[in-house]
Amino acid sequence: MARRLILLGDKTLSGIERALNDLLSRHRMPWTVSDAGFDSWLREILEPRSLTNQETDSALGFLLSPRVLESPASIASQIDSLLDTLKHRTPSRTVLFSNMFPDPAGVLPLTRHEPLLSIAAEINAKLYAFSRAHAWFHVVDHAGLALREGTRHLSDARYEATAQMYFSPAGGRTVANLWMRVIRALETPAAKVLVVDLDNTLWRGILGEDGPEGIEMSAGPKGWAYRNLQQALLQLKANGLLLAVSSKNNAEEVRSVLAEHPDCLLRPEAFCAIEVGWGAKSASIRRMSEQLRLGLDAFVFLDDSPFEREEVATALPQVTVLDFPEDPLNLVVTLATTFAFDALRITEEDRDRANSYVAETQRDALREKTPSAEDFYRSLSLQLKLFLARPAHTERLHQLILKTNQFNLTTQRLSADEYHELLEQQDTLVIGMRVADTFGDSGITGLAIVTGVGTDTWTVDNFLLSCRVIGRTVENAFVAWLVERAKAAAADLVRFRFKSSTRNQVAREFLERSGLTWNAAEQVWQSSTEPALGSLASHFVTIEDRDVAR
Amino acid sequence: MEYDEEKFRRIVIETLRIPEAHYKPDLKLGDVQEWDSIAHLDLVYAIEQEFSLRLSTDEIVALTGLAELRARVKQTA
Repeated sequence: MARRLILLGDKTLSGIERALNDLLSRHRMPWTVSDAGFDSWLREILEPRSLTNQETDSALGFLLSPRVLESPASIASQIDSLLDTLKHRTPSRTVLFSNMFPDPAGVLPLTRHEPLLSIAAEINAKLYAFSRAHAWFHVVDHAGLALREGTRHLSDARYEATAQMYFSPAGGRTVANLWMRVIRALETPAAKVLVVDLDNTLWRGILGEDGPEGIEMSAGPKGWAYRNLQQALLQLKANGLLLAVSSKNNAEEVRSVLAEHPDCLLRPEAFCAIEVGWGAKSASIRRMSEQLRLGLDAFVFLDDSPFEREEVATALPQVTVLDFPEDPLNLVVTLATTFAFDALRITEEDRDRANSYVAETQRDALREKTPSAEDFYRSLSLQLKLFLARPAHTERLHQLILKTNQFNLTTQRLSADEYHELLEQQDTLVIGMRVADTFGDSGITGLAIVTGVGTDTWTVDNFLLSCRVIGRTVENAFVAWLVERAKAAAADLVRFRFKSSTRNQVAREFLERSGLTWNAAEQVWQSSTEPALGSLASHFVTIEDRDVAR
Repeated sequence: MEYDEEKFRRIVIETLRIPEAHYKPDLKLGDVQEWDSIAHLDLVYAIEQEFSLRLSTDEIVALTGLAELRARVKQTA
């Protein structure tokens, strides 16, 4: 197809021509746009030998201002013959045609718009009907743009007075941006799958910590942004986009929230894949791509965590990773401004596709040790910062004891008093943890209570990590560090108490592949301090333990 | 707003799309081929945005050189 677009209009378009060429080159699209000149649009009908008619390999762009609605020879009488001319021309060429909106300026503000609105509506209906019948004809939605941006932004009387430009320089850039997206969509298929995270993306809060009652997606002020996002996703789905979940969470809990939470608009059947586990999100997207038989470039990823976004972007550069807005109220704007979903027309097959996939929840998606995953870890410069718990940390550490479910070895919910007593005990180490990487510091996200310090046998009464930091090998790093510490203090054995709960499978799975041994008699996982613990250690984490070292 | 000559120079170079070497403080419409009618409006628009002023239609039409434009900006600043 030709990579040239000729703009035809009723006004001067050279400002838009320039802005559009700038945008096309900035987005590396090999298109050039030229302006056929002031009031050139009717030449297409009146002059069969016009220049634009001879350049049969160029696409045509009719970019009209609201003034055409106001002129005596109104477009209403011209549109039929223009469309007819376009239809009978051979070969058919790509035609882009702006739809109509009235400019509300002028006298009689209470009554004047009614006739113009009717003409605009009539013409727009014809344009859309024509586009449905002709695959080469596409409507450019100026009317929608004017509703969003307003004619005060799009137009400025001074430029119309001095240069016959309806669209001001600022408005022209906005219009050019819309046309650039339309031109892009001529050649680039829309993304087919949107993979979303759950915690703090689809709802506010962390399911594993706040519980199903603590997360928010209601129509109230706390949940509004997330409810809006869910509504937008339903709308995208109705237009053929497949939705999928990739979340680090407990599969049972996710299932019950999606199925039963009264405020949740997206039910399990809304998704073509639900991947809940603790593995790399890039691995879950790769699996979806194989299951759905869709290329990775058809995938878009939305996640509030910069860590996850970077992981996916690094491992799967073909996937479109969306920026996450600072204010979640802007989530819908984020979806509207990405080009990824741009399509010029939506077919029945598109709409049906979303319904033909059945969700299949996958659990226990283990992180695949691909070379790229290791490179990714290494690039993160992960740091585990250990510190001795002091009274100033009590509030957060005690909160972790009460809230953490998944990576919690015993789920023993100490009272505030019990926690205080621990801090007083001589043979007990209460170690707090922070995890830092190139994205920043996680804050206090881990805790270990070690008793028997100074004796032959050290016992970890509990070890827990917030789900925000699980799966980055800091858990391995801590176990290896503790065994080394015990050895240096001349202890022989390190034991980890474990108590199974309905929600701590993650902790169990970690212990099973940690290199520790299960001691059934004592009901502990243990390691002697004698052998080297190469298999335990993490190669990716450096430990900052100045505060804890004695 | 305080007048900033460097900012003024940068806007002119960027909106007229001229090489830095072609910039002269008293450049006039027609001195460089890049300064055509569309670039003229882009320049007016950019100056208005950056220096928070608004030229009238008559001023836009009458404007023929940077010296006048600078004087007009300073008068507002």
